[in-house]
Formats: sequence, C-alpha cells, structure tokens
Amino acid sequence: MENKEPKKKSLGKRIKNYFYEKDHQSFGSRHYTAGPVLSKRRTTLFIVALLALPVINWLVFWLYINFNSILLAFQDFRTGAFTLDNFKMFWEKLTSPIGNEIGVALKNTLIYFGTSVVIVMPLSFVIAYFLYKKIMGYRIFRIIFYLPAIISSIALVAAYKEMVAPYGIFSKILAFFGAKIPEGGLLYSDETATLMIVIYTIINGFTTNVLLFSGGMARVPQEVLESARLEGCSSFRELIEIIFPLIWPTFATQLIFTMTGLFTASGPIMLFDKNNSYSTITISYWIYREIYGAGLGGSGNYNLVSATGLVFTLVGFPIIMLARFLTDKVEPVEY
Amino acid sequence: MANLKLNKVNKIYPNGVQAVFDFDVDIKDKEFIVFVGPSGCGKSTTLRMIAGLETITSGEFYINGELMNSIEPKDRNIAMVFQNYALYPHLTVYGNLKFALKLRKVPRPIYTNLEDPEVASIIEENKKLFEEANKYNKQFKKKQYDDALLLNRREVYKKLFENEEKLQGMLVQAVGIDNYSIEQLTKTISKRKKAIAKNETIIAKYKDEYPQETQRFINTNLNNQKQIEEFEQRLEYLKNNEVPLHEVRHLTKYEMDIEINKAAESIDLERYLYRKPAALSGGQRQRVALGRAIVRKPAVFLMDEPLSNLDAKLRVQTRSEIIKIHQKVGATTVYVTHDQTEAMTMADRIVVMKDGYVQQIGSPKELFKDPANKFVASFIGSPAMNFIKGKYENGVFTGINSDDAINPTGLEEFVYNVPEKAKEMLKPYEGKEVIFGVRPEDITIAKKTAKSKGLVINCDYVELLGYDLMVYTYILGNKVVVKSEEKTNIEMGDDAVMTFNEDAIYFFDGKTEQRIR
Repeated sequence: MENKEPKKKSLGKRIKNYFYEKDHQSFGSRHYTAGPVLSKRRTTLFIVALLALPVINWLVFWLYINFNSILLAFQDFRTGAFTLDNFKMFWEKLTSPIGNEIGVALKNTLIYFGTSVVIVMPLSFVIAYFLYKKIMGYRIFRIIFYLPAIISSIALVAAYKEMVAPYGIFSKILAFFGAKIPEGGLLYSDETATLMIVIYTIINGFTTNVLLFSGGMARVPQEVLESARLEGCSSFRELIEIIFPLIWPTFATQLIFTMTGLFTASGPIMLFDKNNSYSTITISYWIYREIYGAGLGGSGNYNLVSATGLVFTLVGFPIIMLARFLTDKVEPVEY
Repeated sequence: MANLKLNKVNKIYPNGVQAVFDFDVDIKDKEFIVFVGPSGCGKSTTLRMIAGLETITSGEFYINGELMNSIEPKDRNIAMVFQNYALYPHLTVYGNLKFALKLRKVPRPIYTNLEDPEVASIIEENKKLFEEANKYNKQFKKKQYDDALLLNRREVYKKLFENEEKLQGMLVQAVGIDNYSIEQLTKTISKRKKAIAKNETIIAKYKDEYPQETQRFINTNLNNQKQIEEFEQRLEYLKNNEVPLHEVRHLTKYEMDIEINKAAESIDLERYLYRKPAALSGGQRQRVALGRAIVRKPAVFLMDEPLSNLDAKLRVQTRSEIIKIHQKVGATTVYVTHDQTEAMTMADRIVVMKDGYVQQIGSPKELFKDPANKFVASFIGSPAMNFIKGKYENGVFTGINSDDAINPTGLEEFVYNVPEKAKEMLKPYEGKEVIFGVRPEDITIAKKTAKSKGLVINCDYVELLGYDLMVYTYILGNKVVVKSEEKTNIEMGDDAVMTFNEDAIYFFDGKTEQRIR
C-alpha cells in the first residue's frame, strides 16, 4: 500500500475554508451560520482591507520620504557621510547679498500665504455670507465664484494673461488711471509679476473657502437669525457676533489647513513664469527647480533641498501648533 | 401698551400658494390671544407677518393705529419666542439676555438731583454692591453648584434691587422742552408726507386699471393722514409745553446687569446664568427664551408653539408660568398652538383657523358653547364632539350611514326626535341633510336594565382615566364617545342605554357645515 500524502489545498480554498468554518459551526446535527452579522474575523479583514491603502500610502509617500529627507539633510552630497554642510550652504544662500534666490522665494511664499490668510479667507467668509443671505443676483454671483473650480486652470491663466497683457483690459484700466505699464506687460517685470500672480490667486482662490463657509452657514438655525433680526441685530453684527462663532469649527479647520501650507504656499507660477525670469520664485518652486530643473540652473542636490525643507518644517511646526492651540481655545458650539 | 389690528390680511407665497385669506382681528391691549388650528392652517404665517418676518401680500397690520406693513421687525417693539427656542448657542444665558439690551438705544429719564447727598450715597452704595456682585459672579461662573455662593449673590442683588426701587422714588426727572422728541416727530411727519405723495402717484397711475390693489394704498394714505394730524397735535404740544425729559442711549453695563438679573430672578434662572444653552434642559431653555423676551420689555409678545418641544408634565408647568408672566408683564400676547387644551387654558380669546381662513374668534367658553361650524365644534373640546350625518324630516332627525366609516358591530339605525326649541331653527332644512352633534359630556350612559329608556347601544370598548370613563361605540359607522364616570361600571361588550342632554344638541348644515342657529 502506498502512503499517499494529503493533497495541499490552494491558498484561495484555504482562505475560503477558514472563513466558512468561522461562520458555519455545527453542533451535533444542527448547523449554525453567522447570518447577517459578520463574524469578528470578517470584520477585522474588512477594516484591514479598508485601511491598507491609506496606510501603505502613508508609509511609502510620507514616512519613508520624510524620514529619508531627514537623513539626506545630514549627508554629504558626494560621499554620503554625516555632515552639517547642507545647513551651512542653506544659510549662506539665504543670507547672501547677491543672487539671493531663497530670500526672494521666502518673501514670495510668505506673500502667497499672507494673501490666503488675510485676504482670501476673510473675503470668502463675507462672500459666503452674501450668497447665504440670497442677495439680489446671488445665483449669478454663485456661478462666478464657483466657476474657477470647474474651468481648467490653463484656460483661466490664458484668459488672465490676455487681460494683463499690454493690450488687455486690466492694463488699459490701470493706464487710464495713470499707472505705468511695463513694456512687455504686467507679467514681464520684476516689480509687477508677483503682484499680478497674487491677484490671480485671490480672484480664483475663493471657491473652496466659499463652498466650505457656505456649508457651515447653511447649518445655522434660521430661527436664531430671525430672533436676532427682531432684536435689532444689523447684518454686520449678525455676521460677526452670530454666524462667525457658530461656524467657528469650519473656519478654524480651514485656518489650520491654510497654516499647514505656510512654506508651501505658491501661486500657479509654473503656468505664468516657468523660467522665473521676473522674481516670481517661491520655496516650493525653488525646491522643484533645484532637483529637476537642470536647464534652469538646478543643481540636483537632494541633500541641500532636504536641509532646506527640514529647516522650514522646524520653523513652521511650532507656528502651526500655536495656531491650533489658539483655535482650540474657542469652544465649539453645539446646536 | 399695544392694540393690534389685522385688516383683511392675505399671504401669497411666490410660488402662488395662499397661506392666509382675509385675516381680520382686533387685539386689545394686554390681551392674551391664541391662534389655534391644525398644521398648515396659516397660524404661524400670520404670527410671522405680525413679527415682520414675512411680508404681508395685501391687507394692513396696525400697532396702536400705526401701519406696520413696511416697518422693520426691530422697530415694531415685538419679542418672539420660537418653538425650538432660537437661543444663541455660543452665548451663555446671561449673554443671551444681554444681546438684545446691548443692541438698541432706549429712552432713559434725565434726572436733576443726582448730586443730592442722600441720592448720591445710595448711588455710591449701589456701585459698591455692583462691584461685590461682580466678584460673586466671577466665582459663580466657576462654581455653579455652590448653593452658598448663589445665596450670597442673591442677597447682594436683592439689596441692589431694593436700592434701585428706593432711588426711583427719590429721583426727580428733568422737565423742559423736549427737543429730541420734537426733532424725531418732525422727521416722522416729513417721512409720512413723502410716503403719501409716493402713494398718490401710484394711486393716480393704477386706480382705473387695478382698483382693488390700489385700495390698499388709499387706506394707507388715509391712515397716514390721520396719524400726521395726531403727530402734529403732539408736536404742537411739545413745542409749547415742558415735559419730562429723556435721553436716548445704550444702557450702561450696570443698567443691563440689573435688568438681566431682575428677569432671571422672575423666571428662576439665576443658577443657570453662566451656562450655555447646550447645558440646559428643554424647559430651562424655554425659560431662557421667555427671559430674553421679557428683558426687552416689549409691547407685544409673540409665541410660536413654545411648548411643543416639552414633555407633557413640563408643558403643563410652563403653561402656568407663561400665564403668570403675562399677568406680571401685561404685554399684549399672541400665542400660536395646535393644541386646543393650551388654547382653552391660556387664552382670553381664541382665533380658530383652518386652511388659511379664520373660522371663529371668541373666548374659550364662547367657542366651546357656541361653535360657529362643525370644524370649531370638533376642534375645541376634548374628547371632540360626536357627529352623525342624517336627514331632518317632520321634526325627526334620521341618521344615515357614514361613507367613511364601517363598523359592523355598531348601531344600524338612529332616529332622534328633535326638541321643540330646535324645530324652529331647523324649519328651512326640512328634507335636507344636516349633521347632528353632541359633546361626550352631554351624553348620559348607564348599563341596560329592564326599566331603562333611551338609545340602546353596545360598548365597543372603554377607557378608564381614573375618575372618568370613556365609552366608545359606533352609530351608523360613526364613532361616538361618551364621557362617563368610573362608577357606572360599564365594561367592554356591555349593552348600555344612552340619553342626550336636549339643551346641548347642535345641528350643522350638511353641505356648508355651518352651525344652524
């Protein structure tokens, strides 16, 4: 008689059996199934499957990259040995009186960031309020403000470029009021290029904020506002003293979200001034160009940009934490 | 003081739906009037038109004779309590009460003897007491469950209130030519004259084409003209006579604190002053909403189903509190509810509404005893009135089978000899369809015996409500309920004998459902 080894089951069958046994249990002649309730093991599998993708994504594209960046910041460009030279080089570039690109990039980045916090967010809040109050023509305004979200940014930039060109309407209006328009146009001058892109960013930056704030405002109970109206509350007071505190969680979340972009704030400069000919550079663009822009004066020095990133992270982190601490000080409202 | 008048008020929404039809009512000063009716009858819409939260499509609304149609809600001197409280969730109870006070400027008397030593000493004492109260308030914010602290705080405010009352008796109000009022009145007259001129242009232009619509402008002008005359008389008086002087200003922090604490004390909210609405129960929230209305001292209180979100026990309790507040404050109150019990127990007068139309206006007793139609008769009174459809012929009412109800166990024949008194009024209905109505309280029921006389019925089911016993049966498919006493001992399935109180039988027109009188 030959001893036959039991045939190994395929992996698929084994998994199937595993769950079958877990869900179908026999007691004597009776057979029970898990029924509509998932077994504990199935639930675990479901959770694991659901979480797997974001966890892998986080491990590969966040943890690995950031950890690697930290290592790179302390490694020599050529030998890979431990060094602090990258930080020294960054400091020299930042403080250099001649050709100080990082300085310009930092200044422009802070302008973009400041614009979104000081101009775009408050203006979006006010616009959202007017849309919420259904002022005359609010439907048209709504379309105008939401349109940038569905139109290609290339098309928008192209249209804007036409407007600010020397023959464009924007330039003509400015010229009418006596402003001096640069020869090649407002986008082709060190003095005006960044300002023009900032204005573009403001005009097209409302959409997300307006959407978020409108959503928050829609939740405010109508009776509360009616009650305020009966008590003689003006529109301004209503906005500041009632609506603002009631949508504070939305506002605070958006504020923190904007704060996290402190050193990554940037307008669509790639579409406007790819060669950075007119001092429009920002930190994120500088980092990109250092690595990939060989033809644009980039060095391909990963170690320098890693050190730069690390320094800005160390500066930005306490600022964001402080902002969070301050926003958390205001209790969220239950209603 | 506020008299309200609604004259042929209509509300048509932009989608064409008419919610209110020709609403007419005169509400006297200090009256507690209740608008009652089923959902969608237009009662809340009418209330919102009074508040100014909804525009009036046509018709006029006056407060003390002044046309309010185009007056802003804040300028109507009205406070409103909403069904879901409408408190500011981000503010404490104190903040909620303070909100209205800090918004508006109010006329405050100008005093001449503030320097008098006696007056000055009380004012000085009050300042110290206020500082002391503030110290307690700070502590109380942190320890709201400390009874000793609450008592101490209460003592300080009690002294403050006493001193304030004493001061009121001592202070002498300045007298002179009231230039401020003269200026305001002159402005108002000028505004009214401009409005009249504007309306006259509209009237001249559209009078022939839209006579009905222009009538509203004519009425407005007549009213404005009448008011201008009154204002001019008042202006003349003010110019030539010295009157007690006021200054119109925002309240000081101290004045607001006194008002808030007085209101909080009156509705027992002191303990909760520094809590946010989320930390309060439904009843407490509703009290805050009432407090917020009281603290403004409005001429008119509007309440839109304020008790609907409360449980039955709390509803009864808050109901009595609202009545007490009304008696104390004395403001004209318009109260909206769908609950006829609330209406009956609280109102001086009730306006019953259905499908946007006013069905009847009267005191609770009037509506109960003398309903204008079948709807009012069925809506007012609990349990509702019993109805049987039938025909009136030769002094006899013969019931006919109800179309909408089937009950095989019910009585299949109902013949009622109409009392002599009712025969006269039923004469025009000879051979016509009428509806017989009788309240459950006006039916006497007893177990059937050999000697008993009356309508023999079979008890479909019974409900014991303590002293009362509700007996249900069916007559020609119509559900009939009898309010009896527990001692009758009637049980489900028993045969019983019913007799009607002849003085309390109602007849309604079979088609219009109007009461036959």
